[in-house]
Amino acid sequence: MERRKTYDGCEGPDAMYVKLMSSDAHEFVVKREPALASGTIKVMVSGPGQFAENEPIRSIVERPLHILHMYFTYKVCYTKNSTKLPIAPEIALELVMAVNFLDC
Amino acid sequence: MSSQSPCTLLELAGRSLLMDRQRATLALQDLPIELFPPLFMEAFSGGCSEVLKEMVQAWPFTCLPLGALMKKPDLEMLQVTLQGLNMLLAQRDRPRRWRLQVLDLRRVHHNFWRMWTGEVADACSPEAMPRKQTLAAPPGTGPSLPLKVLTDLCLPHKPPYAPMAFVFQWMDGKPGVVQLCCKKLQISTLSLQSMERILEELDLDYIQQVEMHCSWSLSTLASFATYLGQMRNLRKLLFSHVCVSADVSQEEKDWLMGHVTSQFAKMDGLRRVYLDGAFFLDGRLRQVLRHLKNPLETLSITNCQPSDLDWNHLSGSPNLTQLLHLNLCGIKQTNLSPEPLRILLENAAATLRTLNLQDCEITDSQLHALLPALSGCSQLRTFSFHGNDISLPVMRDLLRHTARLRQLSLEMYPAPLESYDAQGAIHRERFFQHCAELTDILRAVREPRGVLFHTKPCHICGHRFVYNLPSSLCRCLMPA
Repeated sequence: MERRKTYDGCEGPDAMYVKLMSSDAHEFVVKREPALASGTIKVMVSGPGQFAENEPIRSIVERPLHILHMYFTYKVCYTKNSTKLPIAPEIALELVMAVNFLDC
Repeated sequence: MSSQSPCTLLELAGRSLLMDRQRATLALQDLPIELFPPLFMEAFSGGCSEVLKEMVQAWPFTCLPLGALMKKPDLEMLQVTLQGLNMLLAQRDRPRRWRLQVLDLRRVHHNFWRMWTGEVADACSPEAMPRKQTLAAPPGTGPSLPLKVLTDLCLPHKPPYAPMAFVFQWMDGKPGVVQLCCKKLQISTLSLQSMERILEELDLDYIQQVEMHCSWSLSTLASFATYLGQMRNLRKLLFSHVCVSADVSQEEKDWLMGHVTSQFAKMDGLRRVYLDGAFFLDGRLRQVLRHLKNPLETLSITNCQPSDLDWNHLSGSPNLTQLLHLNLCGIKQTNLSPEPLRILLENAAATLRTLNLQDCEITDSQLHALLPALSGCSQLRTFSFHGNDISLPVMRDLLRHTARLRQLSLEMYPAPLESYDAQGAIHRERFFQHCAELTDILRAVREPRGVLFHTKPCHICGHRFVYNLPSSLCRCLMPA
C-alpha cells in the first residue's frame, strides 16, 4: 500500500479524505476521520515527514483493502444500528494478516 | 469487547476465519505468533473446538495461560484444550513448532491476553511492526517433557476448583509425560488415602504455600508432615484450627509430634509461619523454632494460648531476629511475663514492620515493660494495639515513646480506661476529649498519618466505635 499526495482533496494535514492504494494499483478514497481507526494509517497521515512520499510500506492487495474501506463505514454506522460486516471466509486469512499490520 | 462498541476488524476477521475449520487449520502454519492469542481467544469464547485443538498443538509460546481466560470454570473448553494436548503428546515425532511447556490454569497472567488483544503500545510505526514470523525450529531443539500443568489446589475439590477433577482424570496414565505443579495448596478435611494419592502426583519442589484447615488424627498429621518435609521451596505454612485427636499413648504422641516438628528442619525456604488455633503444637512451638533453618519473616500466633515454655522461648530464638511481621492478636498476656516479648521486640527492632498486639489484655504495668523496646522499632509501619486495658497516663507515655516510629502509616490504640463509665459503657464526650488530647501529643512528637482509637466492643451489638470515624458509631450509643 502506498500513500501518495495528489491534488484532489487528499492533500495536506487538513485534508478531509485519504487515498489508499493497494499494491495491485487499486485506489480507495476514504474519509480521513474513520480511517484513523487504523493505528498505522493514523501515523502515516499525522506525523510530518514520517513517511517519504511514495514509500512502499507493505504489500496489501485489493481485496483486504476493500474490506478495510467497508470497515471504516461499518464503524460509523454501528452506533446507529448493529450492522453486521460480512467477511467471506476465503478472504479472512488475507484480511487477518493485513489488519495485523494496519492495527485496527 | 464491549457490547457498546463495535468489534475491531481483527476480531471480525478472526471470527470469519474460524468459521471455516479447514482454512483456519491451514492458516496456523503461516500465522504470525502475535495473532495466535487473539485468535485463540476468539476460538475459546466461540466454542470452536476443532480449531482450538489445532491451536493448542501449534501454540508458539512456552506457556498457555488458560486460567486467565476462564472467567468461570468452562469445563467443555478445558476438555477441548486437554484433548488438543493429548494429540500433541501422542505424536511420536515432535512437531518442529512445538514450544508449549506449561499449561497455566491459575487466574493470573491476564496481561498476556490484554497485551496481545488490547491496545498494543507503539504498534504504529512500521519499524515496530513485527515481521511475519516463521515458526520453524531447528531440528533437535524444542521443549522437553514433562509438560507442566500449573494450578493452585484446594482439596477436597469444590467450586471453583471443580475443573481439577477433569485435570486429574486427564493426567491418569501419563506418568512422566505430564507433571502437576502447584504453588499454593489448601487442604481442608481429607482422608489420608485421597491426600496421598494427590500428593504423589505433585512436584513437591514447586509448592510455596500450604494452608491447612482440617481435623486429623495425629498419625495422619505425621504422615502429611513427611510430605511437608519434602517441600524444599515452601515459604508459607499456615495451620488454621487444625484439631488433632490424640487417642494414643503419651509415648506414641511424643514420637509422632517429634516427627512432625523435625520436618521443619527440612523446609529450607520457610519464611512465614501462621499458627491460628494450632493447639496441637501446644508445648512444642520451641521445638519448631529450634528446627528452623533460616530466620522467619512472619510469625503469627493467634486463637491459642502458648504455654509458658513456648512463650519464654520466643525471646531466645535466633530465628526470630529478622521478623518483618509479628502477629500475637488475641494472645492473652494476663498470666504471661512481658519479658520474652520485650526481648523479642528488641531483637527484631531493626526489621519489624508490622506488630499486632490487639486484644491481648495487656495492662499498664506490662506496657511499661515493653515501652523501651517498642520505641526502638523504627521500621514499624503498622501497629495494632487496641483491645487492651490501658489508662490515660500510660497512653500518654506510650505515644511519647513512639517519637522514633516515623514510618508508621497506621496505628490503632485503645480508648483509655477513663473513657468508660462505671458500668463499662463508653462515655462519648470523655472519649472524644481523651482522643483529641492524645492526638495532640502524637503531633508534638511526629507527624501521624493514620491514627485510630477504638473502644471496646459494644456490649449490645459487639461493634467498636472508632474516633474520627463517625460511621462506626452503633445505634446503641446514639442519644435517644
